[in-house]
Amino acid sequence: MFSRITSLVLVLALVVAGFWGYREHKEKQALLLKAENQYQRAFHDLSDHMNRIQDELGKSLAVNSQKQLTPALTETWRMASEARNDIGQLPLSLMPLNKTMEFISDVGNYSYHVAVRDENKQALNEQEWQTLQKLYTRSKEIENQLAELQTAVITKNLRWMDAETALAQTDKKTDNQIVDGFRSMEKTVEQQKPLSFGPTMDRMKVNSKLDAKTLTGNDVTPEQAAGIIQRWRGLDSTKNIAVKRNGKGELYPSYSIAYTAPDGHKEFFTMTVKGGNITWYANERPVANESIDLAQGETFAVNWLQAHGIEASAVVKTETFDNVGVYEVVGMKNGVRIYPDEVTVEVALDTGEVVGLNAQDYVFHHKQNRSVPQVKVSKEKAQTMVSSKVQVQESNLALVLNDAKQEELTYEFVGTMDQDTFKIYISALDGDEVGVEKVR
Amino acid sequence: MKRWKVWTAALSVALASLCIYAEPIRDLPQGHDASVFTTRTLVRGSQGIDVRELQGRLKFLGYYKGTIDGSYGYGTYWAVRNFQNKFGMKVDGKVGAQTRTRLVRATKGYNPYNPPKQTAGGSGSKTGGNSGNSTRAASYGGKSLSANDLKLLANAVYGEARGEPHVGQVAIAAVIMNRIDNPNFPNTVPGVIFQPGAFTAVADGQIWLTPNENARKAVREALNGADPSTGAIYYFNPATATSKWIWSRPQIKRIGRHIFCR
Repeated sequence: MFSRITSLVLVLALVVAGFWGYREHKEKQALLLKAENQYQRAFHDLSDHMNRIQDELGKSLAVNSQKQLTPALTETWRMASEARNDIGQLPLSLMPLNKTMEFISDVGNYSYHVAVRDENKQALNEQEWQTLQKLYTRSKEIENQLAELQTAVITKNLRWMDAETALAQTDKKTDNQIVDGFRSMEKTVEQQKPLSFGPTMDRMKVNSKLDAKTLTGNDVTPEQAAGIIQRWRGLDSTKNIAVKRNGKGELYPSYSIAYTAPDGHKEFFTMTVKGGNITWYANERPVANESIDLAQGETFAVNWLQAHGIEASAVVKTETFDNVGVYEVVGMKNGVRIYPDEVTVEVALDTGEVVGLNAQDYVFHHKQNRSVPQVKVSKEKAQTMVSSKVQVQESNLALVLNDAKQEELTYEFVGTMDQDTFKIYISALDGDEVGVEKVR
Repeated sequence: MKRWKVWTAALSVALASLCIYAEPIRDLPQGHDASVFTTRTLVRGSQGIDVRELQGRLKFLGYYKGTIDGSYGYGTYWAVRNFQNKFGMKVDGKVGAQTRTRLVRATKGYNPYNPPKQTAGGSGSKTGGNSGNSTRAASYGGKSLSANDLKLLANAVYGEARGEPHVGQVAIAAVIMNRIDNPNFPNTVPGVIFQPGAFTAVADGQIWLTPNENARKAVREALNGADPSTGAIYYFNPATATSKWIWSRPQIKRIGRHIFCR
């Protein structure tokens, strides 16, 4: 009797559990499908956008007037940005896709560059046509491979979720068609000769390394580096200073240095091997309530820079966080602000001590005897180039880096439009608008 | 007995209302002229309740048209300059003793509790520092990041590296910023953070933990250009890394438990 009731309950429990399990399973399947569909959408979109890139590049080669050229190229630029976005949504972050990504971003940048250049409304010159033509054929190759993969995905029902698991696997050599497809695409791009986009565009490309050749001085040994830190911080000895040479992935040959103070707080430094310049400094000591205001802190920052031989004295931006004043200071020469020589100094507002420095830009741009070119356009003339909707409040002469990362002498007009403030840079050599920046 | 009860009740009500009434009086001892202005000089970049006061008074006079947010930006700067110009003072955009006195004198009828809307909450004693809950937007390398981007960044840093030393957290924030600049990655903060498989904290949901002040500080430092990783775009924990490929990347250095590489 008893056993019958027990078995009845057990069977019932089994049925309930089974039903519950089945429902859980169905829900999980639905969620997986949802995720899979999102990947599928990004992938098919990518193929679509690559196709459009290729179409629009083709059009730009065929047309003969700037009026037709600009829309085709801006569309290419837009599609390249979409393609980059699509790749960002695919689970490919554990896969080297650098060359493909770089190619897509080159296509976008170059087509934008050609689309917005304004040289007498001319269509393409020979060199531009050649470059675009190369981009056209190469994007065709990528698109063909993508289309092939797309067909395989559709006909064989390949799942991106499987590709994701395959990529995450450690030891086994992956055997996944999607992964292999992307690998071979990357290989194709890798084997192609790097394209030259002309001097302007080549400079615009992001450099993965900073050029240590611009630095002066001899290479310093780790012992010398510790000595530099000891003098720089005014310490008694190099005890508690640990110097470590950075690995080969570094931006420039450098040391990572850590110092532990007697009270236990830590300080960190980055130093170039060549010349022993300190590019970054952070002091992690706790900062008490402010007893110095932001305006006084500025004097501390500027004096400190002078005492440490850093030739930057024009404070262009001030901020404050957690009782620390943050000052962006640029170089100043003959009344011209030298923006490339930029340092950020952090002053603890409890004692006025400098607790942070970021001088990478300064170290790599500063020149001992920098010559500033002569102004060719008067300030009044330059100001007429500023939009009449903007009310100019302040102006300075400033040496800035333009889009092509070259130094250019400009007038910096700080102007307002309604509630907003803008910095507008007008070339002091030919009166061209070099750049505009919204400031807060 | 009953009457005694009524009396105590009435008395406590009276006392309570007196206390409530007394609160603003303590902040404003002599009518509306007193202020929470401190003696510190305010310049562009200053933050705090005294900046709110400044903005409130400038708004009262019609020089300032922005929101009263307690941060001395360009809008406040132009308002101060216009005020200084109008009142025949040295036009430098700094609020020192002279500008302060003149401003308080010029705003006799100013009442911070009946302002042209939204003013400071209470506690007149708090002077410096950020008022805490507000996150300002920031600019980074010519791009401007919204306040919510900064929050997302802090979440990511906290989820990925909350047990790490502070430099390690700054380095993680710097890696995200480096990725935004890199053509191989999406060029927005959410794009980089939510890239599938890019961050374990996103995959396991730890990104949705509430970040602490340390993580927020790390983000601000990275935005100011601090990069302890010197240009890294990848990092991994050698104890838990599941991908072989990540070991093949050129390494830079180790901070805490993470190895940073390109």
